[in-house]
Amino acid sequence: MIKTATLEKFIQISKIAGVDQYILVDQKGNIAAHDIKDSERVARMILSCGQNSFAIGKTLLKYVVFSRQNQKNIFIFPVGNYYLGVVKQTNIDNFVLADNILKFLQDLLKTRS
Amino acid sequence: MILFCEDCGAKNLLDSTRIKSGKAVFKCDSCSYMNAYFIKVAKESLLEKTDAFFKVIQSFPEIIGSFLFHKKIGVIKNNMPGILKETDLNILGKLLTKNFSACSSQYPDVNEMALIISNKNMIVKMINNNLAVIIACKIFPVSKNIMDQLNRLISNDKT
Repeated sequence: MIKTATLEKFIQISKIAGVDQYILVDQKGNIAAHDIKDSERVARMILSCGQNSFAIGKTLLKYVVFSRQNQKNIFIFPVGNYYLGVVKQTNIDNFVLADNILKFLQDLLKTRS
Repeated sequence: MILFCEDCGAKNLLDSTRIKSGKAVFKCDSCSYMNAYFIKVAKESLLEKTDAFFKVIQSFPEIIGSFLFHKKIGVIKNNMPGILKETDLNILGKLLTKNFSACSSQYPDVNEMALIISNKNMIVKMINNNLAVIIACKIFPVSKNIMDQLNRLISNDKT
């Protein structure tokens, strides 16, 4: 269970450059936080893809990216016992967004410990 | 390619440049009759095209390997390092194509998936609902040349 203080810091993710929508899902598919359309269905997808990807990459998995024709690419990051799904804004490069998110998550984990 | 003379029936060996817009135009080596007739040129099969694509990309230093995976049949073409057994590749292919299907059921315009792992990356492109090209590479993104060839392979088969 994420502490309220951590969750409050976490929802700052929506302010990161390039983040259009986001969702944080636990290992049972429960939504810890979100600002995304059709959240229940997306949560199931994020959990399924996150678990499959983790089965392949184990702890070395950094993220998964699904490229879309409309450029609003979908990212999935493993975050401890959670999976973070992010929908990218069209006006930002994949790698810039991925770097921004990874840095944000690292900082979040540092401040927790 | 062997074509037969319409007049004397003799065999004539021709290269593909002598066939234009599906029409073979050639002078018979045996009777000198001027042949000009339409022929059906067999379309290069997907497996042949994929095989050629795999061979080409393997020469790029960033490529670890590649394979063609069918959701129901399993691995069809394997150009991955020998350390990976076919059962490993079948599990890998299954997980990757499952991922692709799960995401595209929610977002139908998904056209590519990449798994970014610390020491390697996996790129997945679906040729159709069941068939996927999977590339393992050391860096991501791979060169534009490789992606152009991959996109050509996919789009050629979809048309």
